[in-house]
Amino acid sequence: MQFYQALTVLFKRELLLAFRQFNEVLNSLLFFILVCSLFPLAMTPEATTLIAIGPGIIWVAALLATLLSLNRLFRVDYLDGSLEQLLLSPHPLSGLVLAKIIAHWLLTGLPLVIIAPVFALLLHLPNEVMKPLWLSLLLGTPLLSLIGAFGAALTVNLRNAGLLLALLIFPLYVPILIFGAGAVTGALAGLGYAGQLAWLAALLIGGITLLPIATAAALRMSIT
Amino acid sequence: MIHSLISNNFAPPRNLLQLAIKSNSTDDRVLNVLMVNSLSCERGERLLFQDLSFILHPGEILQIIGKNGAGKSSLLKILAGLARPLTGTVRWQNQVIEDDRAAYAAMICYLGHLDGIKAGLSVAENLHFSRCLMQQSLDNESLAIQRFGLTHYANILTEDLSAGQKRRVALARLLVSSAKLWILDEPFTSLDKQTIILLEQIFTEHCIQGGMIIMATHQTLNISNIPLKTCELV
Repeated sequence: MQFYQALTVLFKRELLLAFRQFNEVLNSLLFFILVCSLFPLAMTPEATTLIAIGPGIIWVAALLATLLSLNRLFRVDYLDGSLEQLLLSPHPLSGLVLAKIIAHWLLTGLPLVIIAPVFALLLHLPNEVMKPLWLSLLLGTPLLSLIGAFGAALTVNLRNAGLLLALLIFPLYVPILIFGAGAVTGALAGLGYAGQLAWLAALLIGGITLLPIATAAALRMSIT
Repeated sequence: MIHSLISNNFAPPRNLLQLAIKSNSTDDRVLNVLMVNSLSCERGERLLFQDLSFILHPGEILQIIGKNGAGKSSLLKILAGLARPLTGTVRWQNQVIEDDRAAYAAMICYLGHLDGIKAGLSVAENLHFSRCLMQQSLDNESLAIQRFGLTHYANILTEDLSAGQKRRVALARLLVSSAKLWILDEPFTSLDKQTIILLEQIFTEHCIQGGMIIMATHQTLNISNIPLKTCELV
């Protein structure tokens, strides 16, 4: 019960802090909106081209927007010393880490999932692919947060971790990008998309079970 | 050249001195005893200290002194389980602390040179969160806030507080914790005279109740009736 209380309090703290510094939450969402709306301007407003590249644009933008927000995840806590306090808590660190990751997804991933259909319309994606797009993002963005947290934990004590973090986690993001964008392009081509979604779901389940443990271990390693 | 000294008011003959192996350390006092055995620590390529051993009993205060960069903070981090020593062990209740991290973490309250409070949270919210992270705690948040003279600031975001007030918020954590061992890195930093006196009072109370304190500070402690040991890192 106490552990559960610690988790909920940490979760609420993350949300409260985010709402008090709301511009930081808006950062990645704004980035996503900008990237998605610049492509039609830079390329061509023609529907056939945009349909072909649309799923890729949305997925790449979601991926980069998540990457942009990762620095905030543990770095701020590291700098003000509250990460030390988290590590010294008698409660299992992997659980506390999972609470932080869920809060991170709620603040960065979920807004993208919600807003993505609007940009799908902007990119002329037909209505039939809304469902696969939405489902693939719903399964894929939590994975982006989970993997990103692992990378952020590994680089938390480095001053200019941005580039290293990107190099570390991009290879791990590739399968998500392939399956995510593949589900949408598959649906566009009139093929099934259940396979890709099943892969994303399997990866997500594996990620939720294993990555918080790995992230907790990485945090301990980085701090000591 | 780099070694550690522990002194009890006499000049140490060698670079290693066993401290506090007192005649009264009987078996029943093995419980709740912190035993540090031939600890050494490296920072970068530099050896900060080596062969550091001491025993701390309930009700005792250990003051760590030493020049800047002598390894005081590193030592405290090792004692808190936040860092690993190069060699040596730290034992609590005769058990190496890494073996049962959660049990040890429940027994200590660590305050580093960073306050560990969130700028975006109010004083009361910060303290409540700290208490929830502990496994066992005392339900006296408002009392702790009052004792540190923060009642009027309880609902103010800590980013609007002065450095000394922030330190007081961090220190208030000690009063809601039921930890036996307090590990404090420069607890008196940016505190005013009154608060320093208050803090010394709180230390005395903690030790009378059987608690123990390890702290790094250059302040001369004004605490009577409490066995005070010093450990000098050179």
